[in-house]
Amino acid sequence: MLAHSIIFYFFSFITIASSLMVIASKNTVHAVFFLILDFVSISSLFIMLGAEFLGMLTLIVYVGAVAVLFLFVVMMINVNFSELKSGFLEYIPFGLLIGLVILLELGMMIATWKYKPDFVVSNSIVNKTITNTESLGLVIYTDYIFFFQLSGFILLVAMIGAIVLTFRRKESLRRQDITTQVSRERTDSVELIEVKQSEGVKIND
Amino acid sequence: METEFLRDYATILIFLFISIGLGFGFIFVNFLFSPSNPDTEKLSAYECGFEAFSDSRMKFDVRFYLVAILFIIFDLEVAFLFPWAVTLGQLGPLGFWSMMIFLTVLTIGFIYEWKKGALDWE
Amino acid sequence: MMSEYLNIILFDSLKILALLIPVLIAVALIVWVDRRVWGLVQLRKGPNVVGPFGLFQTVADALKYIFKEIIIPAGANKIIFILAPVVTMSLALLAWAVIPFGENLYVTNINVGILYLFAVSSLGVYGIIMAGWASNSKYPFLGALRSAAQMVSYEVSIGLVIINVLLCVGSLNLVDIVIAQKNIWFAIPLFPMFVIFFISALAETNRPPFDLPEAEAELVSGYQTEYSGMMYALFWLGEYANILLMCALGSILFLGGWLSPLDIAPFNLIPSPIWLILKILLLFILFALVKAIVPRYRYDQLMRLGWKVFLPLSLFWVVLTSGFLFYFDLLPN
Repeated sequence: MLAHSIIFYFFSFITIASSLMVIASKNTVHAVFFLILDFVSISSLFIMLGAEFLGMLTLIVYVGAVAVLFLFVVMMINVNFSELKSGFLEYIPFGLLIGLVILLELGMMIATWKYKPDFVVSNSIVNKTITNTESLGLVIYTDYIFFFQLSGFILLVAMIGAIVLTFRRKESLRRQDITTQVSRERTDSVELIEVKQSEGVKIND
Repeated sequence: METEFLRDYATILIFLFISIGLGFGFIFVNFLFSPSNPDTEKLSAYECGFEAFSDSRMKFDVRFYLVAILFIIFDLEVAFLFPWAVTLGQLGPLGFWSMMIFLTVLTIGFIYEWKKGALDWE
Repeated sequence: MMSEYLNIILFDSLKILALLIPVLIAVALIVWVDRRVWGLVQLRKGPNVVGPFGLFQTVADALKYIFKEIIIPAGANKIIFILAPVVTMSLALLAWAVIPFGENLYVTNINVGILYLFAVSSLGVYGIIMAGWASNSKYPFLGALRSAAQMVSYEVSIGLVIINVLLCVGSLNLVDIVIAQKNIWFAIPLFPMFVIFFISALAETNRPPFDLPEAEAELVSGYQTEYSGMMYALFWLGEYANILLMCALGSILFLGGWLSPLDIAPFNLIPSPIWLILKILLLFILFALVKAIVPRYRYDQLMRLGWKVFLPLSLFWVVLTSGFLFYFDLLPN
C-alpha cells in the first residue's frame, strides 16, 4: 500500500504542477508540451484506479491525436504575446463565470455522491470478474445505444464542420487523376507511321 | 486481483525509468568523450549556401491541420470499435446493428469529405 | 516492507535488462542485415570488413558516434532539443515491455496489451515533432510536419486492421491473441489485412518507399538535420527498434507469434522464442527488400494511399469480418 501511495502522489504532483505550467509558461508550444505531460500523468492515475481501458484511451486519443492537433495549431498561428495580453482583462469576467459554473457542477456531483449514494451506485458497471474493456463493451452498444448513436452524429458534425471552416479548394491547380492516367492506352497517344524514304511525315491535327 | 494487476504496470513504470536513463546515459558518454570547439557558422541553422532569409518557424498549409482533425475523428471511431470487437460474441443482433448504424453515419461524413476534395493533397 | 520493494525493483530490473540487452544487440545486427540485403540486391558486398562477415560494423559505427562533437544550434530550444532523441528512443524500447516470447515468457502481461502497443506507437510522433520544432531550422521543421501528418494518416488504418484481428480473438491480451491462432494463423483468412498492415507499418516507421520526411533531395535529412553525435545515433536506434517492433507486432497479429508452423515433432521441439525471432527476421528481410527495390512515393500519392485506399478498405473489411463471424455464429466468447 505504501508504494501505491507514493506512486499516486508522484503522479498527482506531476498532474497539478504541469497543469499550472500550462497556464504559466510564456511560450505556447511549451504550454502544449506541459499539457501532454498532464495527459500522460492523468492516464497513469486512471490506470491506478483500475480503469486501464480508459487510461489507454486517454493516451491514444488525447496524447496521440488531440495534442498533435493543438501542436499544429500553436505552431501554425505563431502567437504574438503582446497582442494577446492586451485583451486579457476583457475576458476575466467571462473566464470567472465559466470557472464558477464548473465549480458548481463539481459541487453538485460530490453532493449527490455523498448524500444520495444510491444515485451513483445504481448506474455502476464495475465488475471485478471481467476486464473493464468487456464490461464497457457489454453496455455501450446496447443499454446506452441512444448516447452511442448520438456520439456518432457529433463526430459527423465535427467532420463536416472542420471541412466547412478550414477547407478551401484551390481551383488554379492541376490535379492528378489516377484513373485517367492508368486507363490510358498506348494507342491513345502513340501511332506508328511507316516513313517512306525522302518523303517526310505529315502530322494531321 | 487489484494489486496483481497494478504489479504489471509497476514493471512498465520501472521500464520507463530504465529506458529514459539509458537514453541520457548514451548522451552523457558522448558528452564525456567528444571534443567541443564551437564557432558561429557551425552553430547557425542549416541553410544551403546562403544566410537564412527568414525565421524558420514559418506558417504552413492549413491542410496539416485538417489532416489532424480528421485523424482525431477516425481515431475516436477506432476507439469505439475496440470494446465492440472484444464483446461482439455476447452482444447479439442489437449490438451488431447499432455499430453498423454508427459506421454508416461516419461513412456518410467520409463520402462528404471525399466528394469535397478534402482528401486530395495538392 | 522496504526490502520487499527493493526486491521487486531489483527483480523487475533484471527481467527488463534481460529483454533490453538482446533487443539492443538485435538492433545492431538488424542494421547490418539491412545493409547486407541492400548490398546483395544491388550486386555489391555491403559492410564486410569489421569482424566476421562485417558483423561488428554497427558496433564500430556506434563507437564512432561517441567521439563525435555534440552540436546544439545557437537558435535551438536546448532542453527540448536534447529531450527529443531520448523520447524517441525510450518510447521505441518501452513498447517491447509487453511483447510475449512464449506462453509464460514476457516482461509483463497486461490485459490491454494491444492497446498499450497502439498507444505507445502513437506517441512516437512526438519525438519527431519535438526535434523539428526545437531545431529552429527550416528543413527539420518541414520534415517533422510531413512525418507527423504521415504517421497520423497510417495509424488509422493500423487501428482498423487491429480491430479485424480482435474480432477473431475477443481479447485485448497479446498472449490470448497468439493462442487464438493455434488452428490457423490470421495471415491466411485475413490476408488483405496482413498486406495493409505491412505497408502501413512501412509508412508508420518512415521506411522507404515512404521515407519522405528525410527525402535527401528536398529536405536534406528531415528532422535529424541539426543533430550530431550520439543524439543522432539515438534517433537511428529508436527508428530501428520501432521497425523491429512493427515486425514483432506483425508476427504476433498475423503469423502466430511464438507458435510453430506445424504442431508436429521436429517443429514443436524448437523453443518458442526462436520461432518468434525467426518470424521477426523474415518480416524484417521483407522490409529490407522493399527498401532496396521500390522507388520513393510522392507526398500526395502517399496521403492518397493512406486516406483513400487503406482507410476505406480496412473499414469495409471490419464490416465484412464482423458480418461473416456474426452471421455464421463463429464469434469467440
